[in-house]
Amino acid sequence: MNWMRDPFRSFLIVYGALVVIAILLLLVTRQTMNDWYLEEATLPLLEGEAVTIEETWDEDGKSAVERWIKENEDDLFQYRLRPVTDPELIRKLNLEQQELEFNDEESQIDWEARYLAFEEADGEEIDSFSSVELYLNEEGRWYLVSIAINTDAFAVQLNLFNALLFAVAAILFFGLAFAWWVLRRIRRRLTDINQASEQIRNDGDLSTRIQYTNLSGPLAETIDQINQTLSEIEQSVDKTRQQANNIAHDLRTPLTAVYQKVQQAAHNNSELEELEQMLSRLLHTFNLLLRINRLESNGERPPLSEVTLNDVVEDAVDLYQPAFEEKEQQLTVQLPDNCKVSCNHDLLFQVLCNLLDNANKYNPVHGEIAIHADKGEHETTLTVVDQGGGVTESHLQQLCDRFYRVDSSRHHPGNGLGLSFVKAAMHRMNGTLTMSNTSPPNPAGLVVKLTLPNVKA
Amino acid sequence: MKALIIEDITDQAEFISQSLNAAGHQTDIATDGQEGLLCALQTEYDLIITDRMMPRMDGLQFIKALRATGNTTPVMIVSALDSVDERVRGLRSGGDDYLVKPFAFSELLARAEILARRTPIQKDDSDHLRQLDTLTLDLLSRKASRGDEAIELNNREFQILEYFISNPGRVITRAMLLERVWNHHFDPQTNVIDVHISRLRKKVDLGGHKPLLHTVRGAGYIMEVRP
Repeated sequence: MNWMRDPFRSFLIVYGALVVIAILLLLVTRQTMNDWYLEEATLPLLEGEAVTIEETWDEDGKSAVERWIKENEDDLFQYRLRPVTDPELIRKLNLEQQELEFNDEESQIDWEARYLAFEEADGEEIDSFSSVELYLNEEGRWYLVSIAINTDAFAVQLNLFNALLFAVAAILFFGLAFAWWVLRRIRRRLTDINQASEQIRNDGDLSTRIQYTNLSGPLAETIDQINQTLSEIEQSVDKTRQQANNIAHDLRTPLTAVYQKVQQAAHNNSELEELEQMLSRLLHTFNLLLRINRLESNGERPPLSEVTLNDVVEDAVDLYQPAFEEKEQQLTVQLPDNCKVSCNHDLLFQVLCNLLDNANKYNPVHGEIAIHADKGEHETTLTVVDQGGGVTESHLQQLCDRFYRVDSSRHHPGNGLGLSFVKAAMHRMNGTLTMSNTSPPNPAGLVVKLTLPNVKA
Repeated sequence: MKALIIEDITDQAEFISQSLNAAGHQTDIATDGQEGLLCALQTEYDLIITDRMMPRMDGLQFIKALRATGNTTPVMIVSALDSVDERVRGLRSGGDDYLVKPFAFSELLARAEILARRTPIQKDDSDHLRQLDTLTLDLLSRKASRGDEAIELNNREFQILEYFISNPGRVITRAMLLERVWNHHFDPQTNVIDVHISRLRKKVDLGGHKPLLHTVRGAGYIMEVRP
């Protein structure tokens, strides 16, 4: 009964079922109405003819009926007079007449009606002709008069009625098709909304808006509302970021002054050295935070150029190789030859240093770290895979948040800004950063994927 | 060493000046680029430390004007602007070093001392052999030895060692090594440089020889013969 929870589908299913039932009912009605119409319209006419013929027979005999038939034959009625030859039928008719005489005189009409009913009940009937048969007696001989009525004469009325029924059926069908189309449109809009929100979730880009054209009414209002809410969230996020930025800015100057004083004092007093180191780290964190903000807000736009990825990776690996060897970690690098991307050499180097530093820090002793690149049509993907156990799905989303650290006890050195910096730097270079966990049977670890645009030929 | 400090913020100028004085150096202070240019042309300095952003004539304009007169005194730019292209612009306009504010004084001092004596070293460059105690480096054949024993060094290690032996008795910071050897200007805030040094130390400071590579707490490393 899952479909009942989906209003679109349940509506379509119920509506479709009702339409099918309605159309079946219409078909049944059409058949019944046709039969009824023929019966009600043709039988009284036939009956009238029969009465007239019988009266003529009774009063003026067979020859008068033959004359009458000749005079009255037209498009609507057809008559046929012939003697009855079947002896069984003659016996039956004689018996019946005796019975009637015995039962005293019945009205002629009743007698006729009996024959009609007899014929009707018997009858393969109502094709394009509808007919009655009349058995008449003259001097002991039985004659059969059949009177047929051409039902085509009623075709106009019947066709009109049929057309009406078909029109109703068509309208019902069209209604169903229209409902399906409208629902599909609504659904598509909703899909748009879902995709936009998914994109916002994935990229964290609050400037994304749901686009729509040729739309008004409640759905457009909903989209407007969502867009407006997004704008407000974006503004408040920007404001918070700006405030954090301002605080960092405002604090940096006095902190710098304090740092300088402490440095001077520490020159004569070695007990202050620890404080000096602390202040140095604090200032570094402030600077990195401000730099990330500048990268994100277009404040820093390092020039992009054609860079050979192999060189940068080699440089960074060269710097970190002894650190890996220290922990006996195995590093493998696989890059396509002469892989060129568009980026800023220094910024990419800093990005790689951050990633290698993390891999070195979180990978266990003897762990393996793999770096490889895949050149796509438009962009190149550089992947760094470690065996550091990875992080839970809930942490994955937050890894790039400023000051976010999976290890909440914070016993690894660091400031929690590394991946925020990587993300901001990649974004600045028109690249992306995505993170996931390795999938079994590989040892658990983090997969960091960087993409950078290829150099346009 | 005699240094000229060009800085419009008095506190900053005083801080640099007093710290250099405490390390045994002479200093003069100018408060903007124009005044600095006047001083630099009248007096011969071993080093000029200039702020980047100043009223009237800023740091980059000052350097261009100074170099235009043919003056080759080493100039260190001190700036709060830490982006990649700011550094490039500073060095392109004729600066010799670029230090981002706020800096550890040990960093400024180490850089200042190496910059100030850069000129005589270059004059002495015809000799391709560097020697300290029993350590010998041949810059041409790129071979190193301690006494009679050859030292196997990879390219990076040789570069690091060359940097140290060319500046004996001078503090070299981690950031300076990263700049000089890897040509990258940022502070990775990790011990990755220390790992390189400790590996190098194992190769250079062999048993039976005096240790040459020493750690200077809170600053960096120094290569010298200690009694």
